[in-house]
Amino acid sequence: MTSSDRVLLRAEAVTKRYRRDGPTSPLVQLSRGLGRAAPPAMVDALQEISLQVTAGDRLGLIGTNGAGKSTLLKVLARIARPTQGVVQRDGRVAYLAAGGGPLFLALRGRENAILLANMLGLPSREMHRRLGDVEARADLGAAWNAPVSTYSAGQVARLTMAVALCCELDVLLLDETLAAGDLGFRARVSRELASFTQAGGAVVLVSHSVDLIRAACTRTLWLEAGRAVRDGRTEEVLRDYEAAQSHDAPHRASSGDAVPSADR
Amino acid sequence: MGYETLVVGANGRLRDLVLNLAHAELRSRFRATTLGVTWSALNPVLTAVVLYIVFGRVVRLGVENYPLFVLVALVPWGFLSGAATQGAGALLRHRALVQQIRIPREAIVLAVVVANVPALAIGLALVAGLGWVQDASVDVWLGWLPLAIATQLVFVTGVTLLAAVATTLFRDVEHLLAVGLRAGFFLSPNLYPVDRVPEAWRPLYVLNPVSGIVELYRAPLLAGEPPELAYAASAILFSTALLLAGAWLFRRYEADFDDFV
Repeated sequence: MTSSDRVLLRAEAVTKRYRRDGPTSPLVQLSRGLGRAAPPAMVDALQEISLQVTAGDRLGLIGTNGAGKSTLLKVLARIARPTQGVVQRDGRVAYLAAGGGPLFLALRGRENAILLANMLGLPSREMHRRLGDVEARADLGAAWNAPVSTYSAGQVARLTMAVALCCELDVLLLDETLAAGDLGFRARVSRELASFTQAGGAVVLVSHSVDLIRAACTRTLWLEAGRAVRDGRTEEVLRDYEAAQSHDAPHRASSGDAVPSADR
Repeated sequence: MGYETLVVGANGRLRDLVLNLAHAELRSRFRATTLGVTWSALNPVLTAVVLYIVFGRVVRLGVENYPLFVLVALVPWGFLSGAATQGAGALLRHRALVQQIRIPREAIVLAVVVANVPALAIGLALVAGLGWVQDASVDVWLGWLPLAIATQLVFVTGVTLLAAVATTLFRDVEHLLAVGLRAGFFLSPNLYPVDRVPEAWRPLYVLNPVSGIVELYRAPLLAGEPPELAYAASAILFSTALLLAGAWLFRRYEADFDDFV
């Protein structure tokens, strides 16, 4: 990787702080503040994370539940605003979670494909031109014209990835997006992500599947309790991670530092 | 990505997103109903029938052509209350569109306004039909209709953006809004003409933008005359100010919405 590579994402000393008791309206905060002096319990989902993603990067994010992986992706995607620190973006960045939250259950696969493309910044007219390609890539058969309410989790993953890969994005932030897919799908998407990054894109992939990270990512960042533990070549980081996992497993369950909300 | 504009037509990507979100909203809402969107238009008609019985037959306000008088106000009111009520909770209802993907968040609210347009169109067609049957000045009315609709779109979009921001930051607003809309319905000249309002109260009616919007819709149809200038001008000014305030506040807080939904 040469220094002339285009930097697509840069995070500098990013901290994201949440209230432990979840979202609270400013008025309620004020009235509680007047009632008693105790400040609300806060939790740092991210603490001073610095990160650079260059064109061609396939970066894996690993860490135990509540490590801050999803929060980091959301801060990078501009879904969440960092409490401190700066995020700079060059190009079109999209966050895609597993589960198809942004899809509409009442709409057919085809209609959702168009709507999701709109959400990712592609006009309808342009999307209509690519619809055949997306349909082939999603490989849903008759389900393409069925309401998404009838889809399995794997079919949702297929539809989501097929749309994302046709939208001329520069950075894909994938949050367990491939998890529900079968082995064939995951193998195919891994190949597609490789050619996506070779063409100048970048991928940041959150997964609990060490095998998937190993297959799809050249570089890996290990997060724990909102802090970066290691950032380096996938093989080396995974080796240390796996060693720590087997060592820590007995007492990890009692640790109370995790961010409670799974969908942050 | 620059989502700089709230002018939907000026930004193709935002326009397509808003239209398709509105379509999705309608499909979700009317899934498995037989009459579909017609229900939102039937609502003001059925209400107009009830009001005609109450104020035309039982209490007898003595307003000429009362069914048409009341229907031409109820249809725009249905648009306002529908958009504001659904828009207030839209960011919370579509939490996934705030927390699981990055889209221009105003699209979620604008889509609610657009999703209420078909019902407005059907309702106005019914007004034209009733007006034609009753020999009202439908031709004059059609000439003024674009201004009436434009003013109302600006007003409703402003109110809906404000309702969405306020409800997202303060959940209580959703309940307050229901009370406010009911009060607004009776305090605006929907059921009675402004000339029945005591003289001392009239200035307040001029300041109420809903009076002006009702005047824009009603005066050409019933009297065949242009709307009264003070009311119309006040509504146009107030609606524009409201839209600017709504857009500004939305822009001001939209980056933090994921902390609140």
